[in-house]
Amino acid sequence: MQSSNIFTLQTPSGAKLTVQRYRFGQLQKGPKISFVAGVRGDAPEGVRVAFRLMRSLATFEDSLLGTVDIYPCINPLAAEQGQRLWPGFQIDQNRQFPGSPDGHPPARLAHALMQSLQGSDLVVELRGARPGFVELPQAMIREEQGDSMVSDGITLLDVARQCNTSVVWKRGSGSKAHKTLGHQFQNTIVLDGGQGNRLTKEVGEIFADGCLYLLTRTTVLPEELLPFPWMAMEDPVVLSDQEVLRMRVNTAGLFLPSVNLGEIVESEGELGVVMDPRTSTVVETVVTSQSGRIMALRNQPVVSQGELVARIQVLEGV
Amino acid sequence: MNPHKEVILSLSAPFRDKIDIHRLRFGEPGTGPHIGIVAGLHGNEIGGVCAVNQLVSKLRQGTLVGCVDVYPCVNRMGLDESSKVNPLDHRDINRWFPGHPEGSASERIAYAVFEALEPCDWVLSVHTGAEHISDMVQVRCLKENIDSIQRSGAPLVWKRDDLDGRVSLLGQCQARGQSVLYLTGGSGHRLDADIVQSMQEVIWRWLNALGSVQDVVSPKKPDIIFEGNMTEIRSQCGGLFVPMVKPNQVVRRGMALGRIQDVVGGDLLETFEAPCEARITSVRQNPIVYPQELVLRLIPDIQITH
Repeated sequence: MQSSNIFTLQTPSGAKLTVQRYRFGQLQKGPKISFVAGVRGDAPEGVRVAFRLMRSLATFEDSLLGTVDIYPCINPLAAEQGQRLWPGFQIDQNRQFPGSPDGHPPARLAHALMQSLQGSDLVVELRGARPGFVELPQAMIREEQGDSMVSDGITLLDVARQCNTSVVWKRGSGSKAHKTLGHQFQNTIVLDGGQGNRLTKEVGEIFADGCLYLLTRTTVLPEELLPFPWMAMEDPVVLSDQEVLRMRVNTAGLFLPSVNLGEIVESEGELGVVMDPRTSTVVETVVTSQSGRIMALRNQPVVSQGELVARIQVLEGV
Repeated sequence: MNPHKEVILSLSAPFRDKIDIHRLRFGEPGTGPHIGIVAGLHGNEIGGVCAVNQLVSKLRQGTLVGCVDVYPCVNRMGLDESSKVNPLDHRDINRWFPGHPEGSASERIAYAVFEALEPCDWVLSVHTGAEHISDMVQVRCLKENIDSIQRSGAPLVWKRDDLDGRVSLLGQCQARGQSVLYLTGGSGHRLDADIVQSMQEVIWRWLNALGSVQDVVSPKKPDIIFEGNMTEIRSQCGGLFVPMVKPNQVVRRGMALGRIQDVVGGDLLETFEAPCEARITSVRQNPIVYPQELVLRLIPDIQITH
């Protein structure tokens, strides 16, 4: 394993800040797969998965048939604070790509990461759930990239299906997506799930196993070296945006959920209520218009009008 | 004279190299007065850090008797992130004295600073005003220490019964028998060259008066010595506060001091006038005000003792 600093920053008080890349395998042969974690400081699950993956790769590095680059924590100051934004600048690092070599530190860091990721056949961004939510482990790819080739005869969707998640979500791009890391490379998978700004043991294990499993699909890791049987891996359902129902509240207050993550709900079923904390009265009952499985559920109760409280994987005929 | 640069504490942080807290020592302990000067306990108080660094430049060229220990920036992590508190544990270091060697990051820093200052006869804590207020340059001292500051030329000396609270650096130094002073001016997050220069000159004259600095320094009396509570002017309504005066300005009775405007439409909601002839000591810098917030502090002329 080789470690190198892809970015060094001297802080105003003279302290030195570095961002590391750990490289396993040899660049001369096979595909290059890159795992990037900690772009935002409130995603510790991704950082943990990166370190678990490094420990696994260290045991069979000599057998790798390609190169694996791991960037365990891109935004160290934000991670230190456990907050989404780069402290001081109050900038979202995941809105800085592709960055600039002459910009402020977040822009230069984005540029340095882009340079370092060049030549990757696949970029996997390791995240956790968004803050305030619990989410099913899921692999997300851009809707239009599903058929993009990662290696001979293997598409991005093929690889995304081997991340050990129960869901692969082919997402459309939002208006600000062009500034995210996930939008910079043709072949990018984002692993998302667990709890916002928290570690969830089971989710960490799912992702860590999934990362090893996808390395077999990309031919970097011989399948016989997997430390678990491949039959144990999840066979996910593939969803498009049309199959994901986003539930929002119409009133401000405290959202108190009455369902659990992963639960199947019927059409017209209650997801929770919004309570007015000043009067202790229920001001809204949130009801799903379609049946399905709870993919994401808000667990930070304070909501304002129009806020997302749940995502539902639409299931017909429940 | 070049100082002896020492690391009094090396603190590990999750994602970066070790953070060293430095002391710059001029002279030798036991050869005369021993003075400790501490700045940057709050990471957003840049003016105090700059004033102390200007002082370091003068000390390099000066003639000293005794020992001057300078801690130019205690909360380096906070400074890097423009944060008053220590970002490693979100604590105000100046509320964790005397600290603890096995406590949180702020407690360890407080302990190291407090221990390092133990041999000092005097401890000066250098600050700036809060982020939302701009203060005139002022020395706050206990009544029994007023003589030490009589030749400092401070724009304002405020005699008080208590300087900074029991668990602050100065509160704990005072409790173990050390003489203490508090210097502040300007506002957090901002740098005003005139204020920095004024603060540095106050410290330099004070060191001369204590016999530390041997260079020829023209002593100067403070402009104002004040004792008691300042007059506070607070808003009656919320809105945008627009100041019309500056700290250290003398105002006549009835003079306009500022106004509050409606955020939507700019209608005049409230005006502030000087209740008497007075010296303005603090002016609000953050224009967003709620009702009952502090917008100005002043000293009525009749209460100025010098």
